[in-house]
Amino acid sequence: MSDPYQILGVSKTATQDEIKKAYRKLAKSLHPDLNPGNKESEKKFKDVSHAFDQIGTPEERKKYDQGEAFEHHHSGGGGGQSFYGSQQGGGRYSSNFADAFGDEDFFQNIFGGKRKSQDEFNYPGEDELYKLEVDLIDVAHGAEKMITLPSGKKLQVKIPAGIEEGKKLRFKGLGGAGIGAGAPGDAYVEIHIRPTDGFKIHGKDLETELPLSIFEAVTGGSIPVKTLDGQVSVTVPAGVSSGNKLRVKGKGLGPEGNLIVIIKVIAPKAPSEEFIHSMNEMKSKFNYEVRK
Amino acid sequence: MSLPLRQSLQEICKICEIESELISQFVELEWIHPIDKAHLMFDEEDVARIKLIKDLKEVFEVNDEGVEIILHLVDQINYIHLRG
Repeated sequence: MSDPYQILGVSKTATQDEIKKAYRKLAKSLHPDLNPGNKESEKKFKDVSHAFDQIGTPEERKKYDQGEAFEHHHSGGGGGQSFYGSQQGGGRYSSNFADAFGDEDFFQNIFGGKRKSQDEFNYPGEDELYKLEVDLIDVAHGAEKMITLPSGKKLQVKIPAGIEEGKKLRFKGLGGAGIGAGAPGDAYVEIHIRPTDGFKIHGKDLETELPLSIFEAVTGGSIPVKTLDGQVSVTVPAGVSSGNKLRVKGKGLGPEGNLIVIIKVIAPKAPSEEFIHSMNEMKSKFNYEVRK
Repeated sequence: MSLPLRQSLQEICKICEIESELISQFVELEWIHPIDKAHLMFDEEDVARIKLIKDLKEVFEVNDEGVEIILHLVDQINYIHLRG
């Protein structure tokens, strides 16, 4: 991991004010919007922003100095796309600028045609993209949701069982209105699956952990497992280890999805002396090789 | 397919770590032109511009008059780049 003090060019004993000054100085010369198209300065700016996030406030600096993992992400120009980047290929703000200065050639360059006067201007409506968060249970069985767009338009969204994260559903003609005789655009709804505690998505399958005691792992048996539809009993064979997987058919996402149960063998946290004594007796009688 | 994802003011506040009042102020000052002004929905271009304004104000400590001039110059540079 890179040293934020080194990246910002300050000593470990620098004051917060000195750190801020060093960051401002570097950010001024490296900011992606002041160095359009310069990939190297964009990368350096990200490093500098990340370093400042780590030690820019006394609280974060204390955490860094104590060796805690850093989780916060810079919300300024260091994260995501730069404004310059967002305007490449004809951004709205650049178009607005041209519009304000009445440059017809600009529109010719961007849209490939001469700009017409307002009364003869026909242009198709914009496609619109919206986000819809759905619960895992709705993805498992499929569902119908009614959503209201900011324009007041209502959409009946049919969520197919087993739909993948990020999939877009198209609603023809329900996007932005066209200009003049232009056809309306389409509305798209992008599906985002709300995480559910205890379940991880793996394609159409769901994964869940099943904690077992040492005794259950050795003897096996019928153990209750939580699924999206409630509990089911699974037969755990004798002698399973952590990481072993069992499959519960049809309890994943959609008709083809399964629930993958991952065994996690848990030893007692604070075993009593009696427990240890008993285990030692067992060990002397039944010890087995696990490292070959 | 690449389309601008429209997000609400609340979502944008979370992404940019900025108060909603400030974003509303940026819109009033016409520094930000939301992709859907009537319903106050923002896209990635708006997010990038809000982050730039945030950097100008918080990191470089530029005052409002300065921000306005810088945004105008940045738009002009981007426009010149596009014209080629």
